[in-house]
Amino acid sequence: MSTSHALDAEAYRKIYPAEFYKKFLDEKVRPDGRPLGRCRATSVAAGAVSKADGSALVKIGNTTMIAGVKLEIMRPTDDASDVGTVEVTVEMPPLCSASVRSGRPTEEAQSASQRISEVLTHPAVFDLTQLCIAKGQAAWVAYLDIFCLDADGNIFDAALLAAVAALSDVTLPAVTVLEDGRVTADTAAVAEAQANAKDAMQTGEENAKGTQILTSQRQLSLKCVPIGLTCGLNQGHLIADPCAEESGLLDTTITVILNESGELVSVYKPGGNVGASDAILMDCIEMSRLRYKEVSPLLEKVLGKGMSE
Amino acid sequence: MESREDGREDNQMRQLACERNLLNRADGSARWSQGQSCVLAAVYGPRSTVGRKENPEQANIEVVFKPKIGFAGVEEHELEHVIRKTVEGVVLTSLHPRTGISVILQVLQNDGSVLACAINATSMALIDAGVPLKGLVAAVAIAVQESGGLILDPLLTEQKLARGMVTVAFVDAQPTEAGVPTEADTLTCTTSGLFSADQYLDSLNWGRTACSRIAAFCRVSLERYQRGSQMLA
Amino acid sequence: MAALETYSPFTTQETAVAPLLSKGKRQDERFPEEFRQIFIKTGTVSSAAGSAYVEFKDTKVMCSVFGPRKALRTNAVSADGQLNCDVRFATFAAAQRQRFVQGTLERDCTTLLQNALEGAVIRESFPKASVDVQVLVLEANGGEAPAIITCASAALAHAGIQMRDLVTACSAAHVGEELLLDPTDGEERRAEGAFFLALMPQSNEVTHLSLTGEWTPQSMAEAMELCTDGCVGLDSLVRDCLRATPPSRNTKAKGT
Repeated sequence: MSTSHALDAEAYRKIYPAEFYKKFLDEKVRPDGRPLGRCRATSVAAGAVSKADGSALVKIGNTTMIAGVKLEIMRPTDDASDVGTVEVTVEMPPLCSASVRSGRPTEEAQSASQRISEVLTHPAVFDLTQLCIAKGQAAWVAYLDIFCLDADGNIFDAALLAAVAALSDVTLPAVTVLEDGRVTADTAAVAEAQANAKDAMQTGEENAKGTQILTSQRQLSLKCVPIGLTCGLNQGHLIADPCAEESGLLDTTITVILNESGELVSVYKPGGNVGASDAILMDCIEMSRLRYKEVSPLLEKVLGKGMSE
Repeated sequence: MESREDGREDNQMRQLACERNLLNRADGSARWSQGQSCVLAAVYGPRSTVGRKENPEQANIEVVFKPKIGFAGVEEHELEHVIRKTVEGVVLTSLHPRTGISVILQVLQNDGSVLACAINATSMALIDAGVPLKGLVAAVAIAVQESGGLILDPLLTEQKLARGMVTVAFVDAQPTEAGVPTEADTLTCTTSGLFSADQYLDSLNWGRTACSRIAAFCRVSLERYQRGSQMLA
Repeated sequence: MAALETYSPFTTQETAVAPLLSKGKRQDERFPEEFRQIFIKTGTVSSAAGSAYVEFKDTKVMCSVFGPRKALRTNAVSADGQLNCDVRFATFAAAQRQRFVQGTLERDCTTLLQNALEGAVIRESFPKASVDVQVLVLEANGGEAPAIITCASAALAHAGIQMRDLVTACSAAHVGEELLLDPTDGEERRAEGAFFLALMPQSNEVTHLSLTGEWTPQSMAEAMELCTDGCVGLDSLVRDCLRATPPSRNTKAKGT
């Protein structure tokens, strides 16, 4: 008798998803047992990929994102001669979800790429001059690629978290510029340049050719740490961190990104079937504040950095 | 209070201008200008669409956003995404299932607040095409300055110097008295830069008032057109 | 925005200073016929009908299986199901960053995987439907092809797709007189010959075999034996893992 009830519930869930979901919302709970305002279990691990120059693996419930940073050298443009750049790409490979079939990037992934890029290249969040090697000659490019390994709703929050963790995990190697103008991180060449610089300092004379460009190893750091929370609206109920099943039933989504000082880095509500009143927007901001308190210790632990509240 | 580059007050919009029905082939078109910013919108549809895009329950909306110079990149795709979701919020898509509605936007001049301009142009083009709508969408941009003050409808130079910027869109479902803000819900909101929650709330209020004024302008413009065409008939 | 022209400051050419084999041990302290540390886990992707994650020390591969589900293009001639394989390398998988597009390396691996699995999957069991095997290589440090095939087999088994047998694969390289089993990236590049074998261990049938470089008949026979043993070992590890985790009941993913 009980198995037929279980089958009925599963069938109801598939055929009438909206009504099924409404029954739970009316009781202020969700099918996976969470209250409306609770996010799924979150974990952050840095250094997941050894071949990358910086990486992080983030899980929010089943949603898994892995971010890797690869460093390369570019020649800065004339109007931005003392900065490098961060190129963010969020990819949803076909393995992450049954709904991603073709090779073209999904709209969700492109949207997430652009929004994360905007946040991470803003001067108040990340100082791009850290990536400068020699003004006008060479600068670092940090290719930050974020792959979704399992798409169970709320890609954006996980992607942003992975991006922030991976970027903070990057240590720029010491580099020097060779005679042909190419930058190299080859340890032998760098050691030689370091020795030359030391000699020049000790003897107090300047190299006739001019001082060779040499930078030291340093860790990348963010000026402020942005953490986001995506909420969905369904019949007036505000639902935090929607999973994939819930995402299909939402009227609209609102993403709020805050930094440690409580400043709004982004409030994103792209259209949707309903509008959001000021009250709802303020609720979202409040929920994001609580989420920040939840997630920042995870980042702190992983990166071993002190982050001021 | 510092005066702005073009002599406007902080909460003063630029000159609005709207011209509709300027493209022959499109079902609806509108050219919207806010000062020196100008966007042309063309609407095609509801019309038949490709098999895989066909939705048996509602119309499928597509947006193409072309910048003034260069090709559309990731930035433009994101704007398309936002505009598409905004349009989905106002168009009564269930009235035209299995069809497609395409909105093509071309930036003619960019002097700040381009997204707001584009949404306004889209709104007027949709009306021109006779697409059934829940209401009139109006959008506006507000910049938060380094000093903490807000300015409405920023120029490109003001945008670049600003600490942050908020673009909001509201739906105007019924005529309102000029200057009286309605407790309308925010349909679309995108921001960039950093600012406090209080500044954000203030910009929402400014946005609401400005959008109701824009909606009023639109209605006057439409009524005038209506009267004009009736006179010719 | 035009793509940036960038280059990597890290030198990829290793100066061949250290010998691959010294005092009977390899650079990473392994014996010539020793496999790297293997880790296999199934059920790693919740959205998929079946999934697996395989690590050969620091070569990391993830695989999802979707289906049987409606095929995108039905073959009018045959009623058999379709097996579609797709292998992607993450941009940060190799030492040099590569764009996330279907390059020659990905295509080769895809063909290899397709050939290796064709012999094992019973396509008559899902007529007019397709089973999609999606692989993502997270880190490539040598032995990607064996890892990919082993991972795909585990994922297919986890998804409950009918197969004649599991397919496991092994590769070997020879340097001078010595044969090295499961070579790392560095060893592969400096080797004089490479041997790759994909085997159905229980039925002892080879689904794919390839040889490159210089081989004597004797060394080839040795390599065959070595790889066969390696495959059998991998097979028992995969079976242990499958026995430990229950098969996926992800009916949601199957029906899509």
